[in-house]
Amino acid sequence: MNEWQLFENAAKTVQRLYLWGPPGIGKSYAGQKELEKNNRSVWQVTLNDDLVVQELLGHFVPNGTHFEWNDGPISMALRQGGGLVINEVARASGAVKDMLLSVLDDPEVSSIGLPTGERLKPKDGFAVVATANRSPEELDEALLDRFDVILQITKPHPEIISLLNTKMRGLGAMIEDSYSDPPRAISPRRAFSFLSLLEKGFLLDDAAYLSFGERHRDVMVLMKTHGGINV
Amino acid sequence: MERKNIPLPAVAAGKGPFAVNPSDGTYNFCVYPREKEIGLLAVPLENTEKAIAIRAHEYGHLILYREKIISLDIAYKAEIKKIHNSWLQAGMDVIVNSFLIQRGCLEIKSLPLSCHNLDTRENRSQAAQIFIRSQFLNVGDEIRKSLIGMFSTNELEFLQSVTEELSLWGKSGKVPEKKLLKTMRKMQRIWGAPVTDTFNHSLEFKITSDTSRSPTEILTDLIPEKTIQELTTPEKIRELSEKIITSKDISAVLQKPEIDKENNLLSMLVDWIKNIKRRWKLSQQNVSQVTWGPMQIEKIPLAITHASLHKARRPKPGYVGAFRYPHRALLPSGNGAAFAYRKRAIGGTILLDYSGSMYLSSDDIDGLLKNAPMATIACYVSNKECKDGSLAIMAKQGRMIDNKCLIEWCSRRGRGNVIDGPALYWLIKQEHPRIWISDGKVTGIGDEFSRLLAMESKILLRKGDIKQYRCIDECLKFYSKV
Repeated sequence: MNEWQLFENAAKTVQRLYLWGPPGIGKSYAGQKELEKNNRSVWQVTLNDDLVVQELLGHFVPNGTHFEWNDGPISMALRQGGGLVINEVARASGAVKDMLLSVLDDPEVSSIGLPTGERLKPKDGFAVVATANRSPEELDEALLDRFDVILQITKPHPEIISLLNTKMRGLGAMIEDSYSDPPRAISPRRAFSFLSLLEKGFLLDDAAYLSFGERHRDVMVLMKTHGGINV
Repeated sequence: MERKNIPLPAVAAGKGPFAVNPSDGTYNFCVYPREKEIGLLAVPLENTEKAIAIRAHEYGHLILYREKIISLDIAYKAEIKKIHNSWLQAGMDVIVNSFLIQRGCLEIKSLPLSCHNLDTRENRSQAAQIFIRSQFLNVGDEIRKSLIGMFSTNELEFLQSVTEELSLWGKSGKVPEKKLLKTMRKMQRIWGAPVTDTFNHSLEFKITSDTSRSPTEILTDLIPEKTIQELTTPEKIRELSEKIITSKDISAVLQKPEIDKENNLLSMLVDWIKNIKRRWKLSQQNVSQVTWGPMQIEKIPLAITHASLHKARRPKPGYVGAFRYPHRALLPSGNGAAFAYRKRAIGGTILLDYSGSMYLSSDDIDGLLKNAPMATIACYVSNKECKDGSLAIMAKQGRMIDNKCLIEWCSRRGRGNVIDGPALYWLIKQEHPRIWISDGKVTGIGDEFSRLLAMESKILLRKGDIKQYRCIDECLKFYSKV
């Protein structure tokens, strides 16, 4: 069973998954897709060092003569029992990571106090898929321990590969192969950018140069051998 | 910054990973990855027509192995039949080139090939190999004209027919290996094996795709035996270890053009040092070989949140960010900076050599964190037997180890170095600025000094952009200036 199948099977049964691997391979896409299968709504947040807890949980906003509470994406997902895709967990600030400790706690004990005085508990169906590029070792042990499944993904999602192959013969296979040598892998985003430029009327060489940069000549040579470019 | 080309051997081979080393175009090779060994690729990384053609050619070799058009043990089969490797390579090169041309890779025509330095009268086999290799190349006609006088009419006809046969196999993607070996053997019978070895630099361009030997063996061959012997004399080692080695030094020693491609240089140097160590061990059996001890990374709970973290992360009122200070927007006396933002705090990585007289207290960590709240502070030291060692992270992202744990960790460790090398390799992967607090005296297993290890650590300092300070106070001075 490959890593993506493992993930799909795991996503059906567990509520807190942690996916990590190189960028552009479809971790967030797969997370969103799997959560959509089981949940009514899915929220996606991308964390960074400067993102504050208020943006995720919610904050008061002025409305005429009074303040109104405005739920953030995490509060909404908790309240509605929706899915939550959290991208780049490892890049979050310490405060956000501390807040996630409560969000990711076991549903029986998880509870977050809002400034409104309300205590928010996750509704049935609440599930989280967290993604990151870096190794989970960099995460705080307590936070990491809250994930039911921690899975490393090393290859692009099969749907991305087949989509690329449909659009240009051999392109998806080429991207997939490149991931067997991780430091030199070609991100699928580069391939989609290439196809998009071609669709917009760019010449083959120009599109390749704009998308793949200095390695465009190597990519063109290998595309010919993979039957991607008819000569 | 120089933009570098990054080759894609795994795409051609369909598997990986690969170690890629830049070449100057003189000696290029590829080795297909196997079950427990990574693949190798040595090609020029520029984007000139010549460099692209060489890369395409090496990709072609890998594709032929991947598609099982040529079996991985062909070199071994040739060896059994006593066919010189150069003949096999010449035949395979023609097949690869015609295979690529059939698939529209016309870039291959720019492959460089020359015979102007070759004494073809003395070495007719090399002349014959160049003759067949020149098929499809832009320089082919010119080369053949210059070589035509070397062969009789019958020989020329035979060479031409062999070339056409090899091309047909390449175009069809079906290579009858037995027939290929038979043909090459026949050619060897007529013209013999080359007088000079395959590493003779009289040829401007050589390609080999050697699958019969392991990558380590091939890497070892990149450094001539004579150079190793010269390099490993006690005088030379003393000389080398007493200065910081630059790429110029390496180039001078290896008699190769200077390579300024940082990423590849580091890996090349590591391989090079490994080779030297191996050769040293073999040639000087009576000299004990000191190596780094194995390093274990210990995970110690960082229980204390340092006060500077809150200060460093305290949000500041501004005009962007989270809506945190509504009163600033609503009160007439407010300045409107109702949003909160945070300034990036100073960080970096500090690696402390805890051996010998070095000492670390929680006050030292406190002092460092006051100056660099987000710094990662790590210590390393040997165990009591000086056979291995451990590295422990004492502070990270504003959290630090408590005093009790620190004392406990220090008490159960030895006082030797042993793992300076692995610890520096760890440091290279961490965030800038990278600081190493150490007296610079590195040792290996048994806490024994070795000039080779000292040389390796100096290379690591230079290539990893690591600043070395002798004590914590010196490091604090650096941070106070940041």
